[in-house]
Amino acid sequence: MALYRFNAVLDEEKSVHIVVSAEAESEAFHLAEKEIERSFLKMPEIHEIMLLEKKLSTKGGFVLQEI
Amino acid sequence: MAYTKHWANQEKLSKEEKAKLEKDGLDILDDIPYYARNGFDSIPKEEWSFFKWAGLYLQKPKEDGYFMMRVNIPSGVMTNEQLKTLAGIAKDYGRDVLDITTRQAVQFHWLQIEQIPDIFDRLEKVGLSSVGACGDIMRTIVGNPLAGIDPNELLDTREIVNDVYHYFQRNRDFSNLPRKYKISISANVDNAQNAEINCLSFVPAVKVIDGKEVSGFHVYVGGGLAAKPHLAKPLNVFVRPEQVKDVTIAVTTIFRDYGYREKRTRARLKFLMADWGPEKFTEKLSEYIELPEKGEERLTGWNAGYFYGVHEQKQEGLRYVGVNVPVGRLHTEELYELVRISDQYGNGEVRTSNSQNIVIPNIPEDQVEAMLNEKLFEHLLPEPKSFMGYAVSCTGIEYCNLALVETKERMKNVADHLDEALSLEVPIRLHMVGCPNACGQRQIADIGLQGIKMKNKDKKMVEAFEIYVGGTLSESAQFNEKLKGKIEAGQLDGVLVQFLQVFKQEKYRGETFHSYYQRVGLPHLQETLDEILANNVAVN
Ligand code: SF4
Repeated sequence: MALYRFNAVLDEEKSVHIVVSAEAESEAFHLAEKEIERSFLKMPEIHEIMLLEKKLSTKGGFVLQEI
Repeated sequence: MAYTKHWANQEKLSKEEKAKLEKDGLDILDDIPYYARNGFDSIPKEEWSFFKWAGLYLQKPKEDGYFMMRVNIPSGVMTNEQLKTLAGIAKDYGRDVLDITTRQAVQFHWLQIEQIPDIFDRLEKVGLSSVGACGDIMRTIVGNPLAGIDPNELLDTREIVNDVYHYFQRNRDFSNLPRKYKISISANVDNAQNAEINCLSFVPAVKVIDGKEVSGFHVYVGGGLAAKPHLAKPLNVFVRPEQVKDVTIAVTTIFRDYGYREKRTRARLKFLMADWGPEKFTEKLSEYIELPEKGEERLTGWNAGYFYGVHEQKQEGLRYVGVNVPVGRLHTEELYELVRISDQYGNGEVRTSNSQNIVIPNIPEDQVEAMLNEKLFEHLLPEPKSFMGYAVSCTGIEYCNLALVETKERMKNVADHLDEALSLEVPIRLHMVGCPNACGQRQIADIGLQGIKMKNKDKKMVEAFEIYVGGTLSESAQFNEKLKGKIEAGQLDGVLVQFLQVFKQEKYRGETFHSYYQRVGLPHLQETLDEILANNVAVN
């Protein structure tokens, strides 16, 4: 398990940060997209989704700064 | 000399600190023979992190049990015998590869626990050691790769470095520091040591004392890269050569006893320095050792550790030859050739620089031509092209658990491509890293490339890069700044060529990338990149 930090660009250039724990990168992408889906009433289009950093421990986290 | 771990009763200690109170990192050296006899499975998981003190890290995936080993090369100086030993280890155990790091150390990969005792023996026989090359301890000492032969050095630092290195090797008074601890000692006036990014640096300086000019050092404290980069700050002290060890002991003691241990993320010396400032640090240092105030600094510029070509030594009739090692990676045949060539034409010594390259010293003037005709130098070029010659890369996804992308081979290919597509009369220092960490010193590059993973237009997961511009440790030292936009790995060559073509068109004759960046400003570089990306060359 590792922690994965993402940034995604949605409709109207809205940028969001997502952090998920997952077994592997592909799963992390999948989970990050799911987290976005469930966070908006109107389903946004994901224009871009980027994995920026991973941490091997699932304990801990990231500071989410403006990017 | 025993000391009291006054932090032992501190209420809030990180879990790593608690573990270090139970067991000193160096104790792992006593356990390794047992693990070697009983195999990787006999190593409890909780013990893995202690291997760092022995210079060993588990490669990815950790469960497979392959180690990376880093070997200290203080000041980058290696004897012929030492190089031969390293070549032998690479051949017998390291799948024929040896990497030079950005701190002049060397690294092997693919080692197994059963092999470690033999490797330790071989290293010890020639006076080498991997102990302390990783872990919360003093790391290999960065120094002037030209120490003792450098016409531009204020004094020969070889003995000083050796003295400090041997004092701290396996020294249990300093094997439990709050965090990794990087020092540099150099009297090279071109700052070949990258002084500002070390925890502690001794840089060349002079001071008139009792009417006599004394050559010695100024002291910088609290530098470091990683997620929160910080440039080391000068203390108001002058240090005579014979005091370097005592000052190192004093600063290290301050770090050990006052450094932060609650939070591992705030434990590097730079955090203490950021809180104290240079005045308080100087004052604290004066409680340990009496030192005069600063003299006159003798740093005249920054060469980033590059010494390509044939140069005069301070010894008459002798030359040193600096050659490029593409992204710092050497193979066994090249290593053995270096052993032979350095012995045949020079005195057998070979030196590593923190630009991941090598210098062969002590070649008689009349032997230089013959030496350069050796086939090896068709690959390790003494006059490399402007991109390959200045390309730095971290380990990347091949071995590193944190990497998001491949770096080493890619950096080599990108540099090759740029050299074919473009010629510039100034070098461009390109550094590639596979994550936000700092092993490839991305922050001080002219152009830094930091790996990410992204989904592209076709929803396919691809490797990509963020781009940073304008880093330097010259007089106006600064870390590079990020440009918006990401470049898909497959588009990297094309985008960089276009970006640098604009630089080529707009630059003044002889203007460096950093001066250009300062003159035209970040917004202009952003516009340039935006335009390139908008032309659908890259994903943005
Ligand atoms: S910079 Fe990141 S990817 Fe590169 S070697 Fe260091 S930790 Fe690994």
